[in-house]
Amino acid sequence: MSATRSDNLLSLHNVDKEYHFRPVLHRISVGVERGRAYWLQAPNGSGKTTLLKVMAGLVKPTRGGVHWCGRPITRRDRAHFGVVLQAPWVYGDLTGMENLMLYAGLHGMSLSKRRETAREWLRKVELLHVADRRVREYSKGMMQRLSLARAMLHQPQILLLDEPFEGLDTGGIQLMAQLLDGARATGTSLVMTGHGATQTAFVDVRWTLRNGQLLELVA
Amino acid sequence: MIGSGWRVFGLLLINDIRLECRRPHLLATGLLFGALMMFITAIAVDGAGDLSDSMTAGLLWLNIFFTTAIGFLRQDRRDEEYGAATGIRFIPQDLSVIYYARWCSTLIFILCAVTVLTGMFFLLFNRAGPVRPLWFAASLGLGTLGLSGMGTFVSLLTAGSTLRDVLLPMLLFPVSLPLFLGVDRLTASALSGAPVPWSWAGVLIGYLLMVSVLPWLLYETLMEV
Repeated sequence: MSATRSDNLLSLHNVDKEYHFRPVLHRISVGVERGRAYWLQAPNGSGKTTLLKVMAGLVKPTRGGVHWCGRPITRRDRAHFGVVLQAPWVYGDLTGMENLMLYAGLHGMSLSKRRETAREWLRKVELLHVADRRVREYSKGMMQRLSLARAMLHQPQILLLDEPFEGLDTGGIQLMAQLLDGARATGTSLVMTGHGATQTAFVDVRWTLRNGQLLELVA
Repeated sequence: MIGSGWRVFGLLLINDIRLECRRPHLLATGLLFGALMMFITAIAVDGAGDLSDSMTAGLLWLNIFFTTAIGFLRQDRRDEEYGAATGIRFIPQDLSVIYYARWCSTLIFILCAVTVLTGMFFLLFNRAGPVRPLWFAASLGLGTLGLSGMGTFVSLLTAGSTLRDVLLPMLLFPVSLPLFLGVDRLTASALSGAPVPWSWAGVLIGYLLMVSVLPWLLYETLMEV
């Protein structure tokens, strides 16, 4: 769990996070290596989402630092991140296609490339048949798959996924696992969370959070 | 905001307009509330026959203020519903680009609402047209520009707060006070044909400059806190 290895994409150094003086994360030092998959299992309220938010730079740690490729993380580094949290980060009144095209545009793609990328990702997450339907009408599982497509369309170097398999049926879980494994195979690092043991075979490292401290689980 | 910043600005502006056309949160709610308020005010003062120009102008701006505040609240709810606001804030860009895009789109919608409300104002308050119509239009335009700018700034800052419904109007009013004083005097002079209060015009211009530049300097820092 070294935070100082040179091949770490992302590293946390002695990170503490408190909410209203209540400690949630305590002296966490950890590194995320390129192309590896991490699974963080812990019960509700243990700080899983907070840890992901700290990694993504969405929440500032109370103490300690977050580094990207060995230097303090900046806003520009967000281009390398794909994030899936509980909320899907989409507009309910836009269609699946329009939502993905919007994010593709925000990541600097040209109009033709945007359309092509959005269509490609809707096909990958098996939502092409509802591409022109407003997202408000999507089921929870469909929303989860759209959220994954939104996070992956710009080919991020690291994916942070908060309970990615929650609310998915067996087919959905298989599809998501297949996409994530594919991303890992091309060098994308994955950090995923869940309540229990992972349902995916490709996880390299398992963590748990106990009293705000991150511990590595040995298989 | 150079290069890709302009592209992001354009994307967000078009997105806001598209969303408002699909489900008119700001326009419909704001206008409905504004029209109702205008109607009640007109009944309460029994037309504006005995009121001074300054007071009538004040009543017009009071209606515009609350119409704007209500519209902002509805717009925020739309952005927060599926977490889109966080997704947009996660872009690897200077965050002030979000402010300028939202300001621009809001200005368009509020100008539409103000046009309708002003028409209602003359009708319900039984007033003759302004003595200086161009000056009147300019004061409405500049006032709306300032109010939408400050409203956007406060609205984006309070977006994550659970007390947003209270915080937005509570914060917006005191920070808009210099703007109100300026536009009220200018609108009153345009209505009556009195000499233009240049000192208040200066206050208004200064306020607009502040609303234009300050978010560019502060927004990123404030959002990180």
